Amino acid sequence: MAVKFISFLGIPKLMERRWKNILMEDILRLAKEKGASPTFKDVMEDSGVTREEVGEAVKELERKKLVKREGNNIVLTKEGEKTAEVIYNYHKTVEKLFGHKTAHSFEHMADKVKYLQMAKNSVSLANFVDGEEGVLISMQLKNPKIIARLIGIGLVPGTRFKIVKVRDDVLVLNISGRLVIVDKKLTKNLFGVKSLESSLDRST
Amino acid sequence: MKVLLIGQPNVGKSTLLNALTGAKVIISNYPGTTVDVSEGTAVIDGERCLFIDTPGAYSLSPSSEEEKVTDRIILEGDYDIVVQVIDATSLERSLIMTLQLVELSVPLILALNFWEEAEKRGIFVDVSLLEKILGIPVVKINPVKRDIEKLKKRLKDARKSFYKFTYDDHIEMAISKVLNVIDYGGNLLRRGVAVKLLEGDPVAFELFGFSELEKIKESFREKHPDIERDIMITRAGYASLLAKNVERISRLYTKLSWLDKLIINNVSGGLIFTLLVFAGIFASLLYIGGGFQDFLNYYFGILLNSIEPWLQSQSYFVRLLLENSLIGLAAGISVAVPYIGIFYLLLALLEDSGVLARFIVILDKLMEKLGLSGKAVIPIMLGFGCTVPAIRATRILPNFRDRLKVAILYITVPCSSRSGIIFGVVGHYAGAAYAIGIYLAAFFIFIITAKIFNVVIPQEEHYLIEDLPPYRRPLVKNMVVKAWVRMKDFVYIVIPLLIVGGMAYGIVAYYNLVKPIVEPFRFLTVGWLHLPEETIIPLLYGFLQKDLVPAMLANALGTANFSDIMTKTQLFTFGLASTFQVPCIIAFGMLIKDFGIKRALLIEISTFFYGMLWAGLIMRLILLFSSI
Repeated sequence: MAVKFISFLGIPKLMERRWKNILMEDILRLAKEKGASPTFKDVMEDSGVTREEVGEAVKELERKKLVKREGNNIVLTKEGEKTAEVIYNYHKTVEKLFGHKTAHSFEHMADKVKYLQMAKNSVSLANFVDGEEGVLISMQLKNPKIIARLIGIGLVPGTRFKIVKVRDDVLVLNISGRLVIVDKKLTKNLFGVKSLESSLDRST
Repeated sequence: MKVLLIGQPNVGKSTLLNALTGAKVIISNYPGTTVDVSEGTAVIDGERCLFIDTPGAYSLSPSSEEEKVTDRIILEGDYDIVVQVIDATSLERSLIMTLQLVELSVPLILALNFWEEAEKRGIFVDVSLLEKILGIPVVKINPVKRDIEKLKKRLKDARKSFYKFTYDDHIEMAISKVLNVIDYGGNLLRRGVAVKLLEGDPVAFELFGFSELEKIKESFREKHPDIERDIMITRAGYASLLAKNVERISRLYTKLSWLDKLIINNVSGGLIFTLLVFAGIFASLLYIGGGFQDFLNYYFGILLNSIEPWLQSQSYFVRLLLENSLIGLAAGISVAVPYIGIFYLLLALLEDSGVLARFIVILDKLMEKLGLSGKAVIPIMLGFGCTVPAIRATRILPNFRDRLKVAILYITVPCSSRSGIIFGVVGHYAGAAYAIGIYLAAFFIFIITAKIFNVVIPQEEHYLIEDLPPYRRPLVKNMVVKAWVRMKDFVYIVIPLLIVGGMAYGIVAYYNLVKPIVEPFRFLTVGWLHLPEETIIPLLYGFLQKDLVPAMLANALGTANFSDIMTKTQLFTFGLASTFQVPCIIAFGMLIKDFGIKRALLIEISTFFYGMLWAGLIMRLILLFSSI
């Protein structure tokens, strides 16, 4: 399930275990963002880490054949290029949804990643049918009252839901065990991606 | 020490308040509003604590009147500690409000409720991790089982959280711009107040707003058109992250309960279920309420008889005054206790068990056809008890127009006093079929009037976004408190006015003012409604108090056996006219309070003629059909 780590929470013990993975992702993303091979210094500035830490992350990346070191530059391999592309697109999507700051934290949450990566394939909730599961990707709404209300009942980008019933008037959703109803008129403003696999509980 | 209880609707705040303070709960209106805020005191660790239960709110970004009250109480900052009750079964949602409280830097303690229920559903919350991350105490409670010791013990550990989170650069820039100009010196963190202002919180603007705010927002609009949304969504994002970190979910979606399968998944099942519940309510009112009423009437009869000798020794004027006011009191009590009391108890049962929230879904489609939102079901149902608290209940509707519409529609929803006329006058003297006929007529006029409104006042766009609380076994005590809050208006305002009204009639009778009142209304009574001219007295009296209309009719006609003087059709017409009559004086007062004097007067005058128009029309229709 959820990866128990978030960089900004600052819990040292957890940090230790996870920092390298994050830094590795950051290096790949930076390489893509810059459009050129980043130097050690670039990474140190971007992620606020020491030279030694960058070195360790790069070593790990080399081991996975994702980058090559060329002097001070970190160059992406073909495989690395692909991975970086995914990470970069994902970062962009999350940034669009939640803003830059949250994007940094969110992108390391494994279970949401694969859905948010597919964000560009999201469809309006009007396309969902009874019993289908999915993840909410975006809310194309302006009225802050409606947004506050949707957030209040637990529907935010990233929320996993299951369609209980599509009625003529409302959509009945199951959000972590709670039933919520959302006006049918709003479904064209809400976008989600359909789940790849069914949920852990197959009894429903 | 002042302690606020805050949390989402149905999160168990009132149960917690009851558990903390015992029976000593006082319910009062929050100043300037009619939203109820209850409070109680308890001595904890030798210190007297005043606990204030705020109206349930999904967040501090208000989307209804009730949420505004909660938002205002928090922003005014007049408290020492805030206890947020959070729902373990939907942690992420609760944490959004937590983060808002953290941003404002209020001394906070979190009380995790329903954690046993959550664990049964496969949701485990790591309380100590949440405590570590936020830097504030987090305790598990179960107020139903009175398991609140941990909360009591750690209440004083409540503190400001050290948890910080930042928004996107453009928002942070806007925040610092606001911080440069804002003039705030209260207890809350200035940054939090600035965020609330940027978020477009109407209460924050009223309290701390300043003219340049819009300019600051405008300067960001070109690049970031929705700064309000950005703030809300970012915060929700952080809440979601936080929740993911402290909870382990082993089952994502729980099974639907059999009842939800029946009523939510099935349109006709839902309608049948609703009809059955409504029929159940009416049957219990008819049998249980009727039984109570007979019982009370019997004892009032004995009471009246026992003071009769003493009354006889008084002057005619005093006797008239006392007798009429006693009749008023008897009418009030024998309606309030059995009908209103039982009705509101049943309503509280439906509400607390989670059934009422389902009605909103089931009936939304039907209500929409009438141009009303599904949520209007609750105030309309309350209207069958007493119009006064029902007008207050329209506050749960999100917009003003809907509230006004429902308030006007109450003339077609027979309150218990009007039902008294329908049963006591029409049902008793003309037969049950006629009484049912009046309810049917009321139902059709309700639909026709709503349809007319829908054309005249088009419905504001409304969106149904509701949370269906899980079914729970309601606590008797909470139900009683809830029913009492709603009955309070009736007991404290209506009953005294009934007594005063009785006296007023005594005076009218004593000075023989009946004749001059009757004459000018002949066109209405005799001309349009085909009723004896004296019937205008009880009809007009309906403005003061509808419970006494049957007694007044007897007085005006000079006999209690109405069928001697009036035909069945006339009794039916009289019943219609008194049902579709103006809202009584107390409801009128409530209308003034909620909608302003101009609108209230307009409602009173127009509904009088509108109601009389229908009464005459229906009577003519009946005559037409019976002559064929």
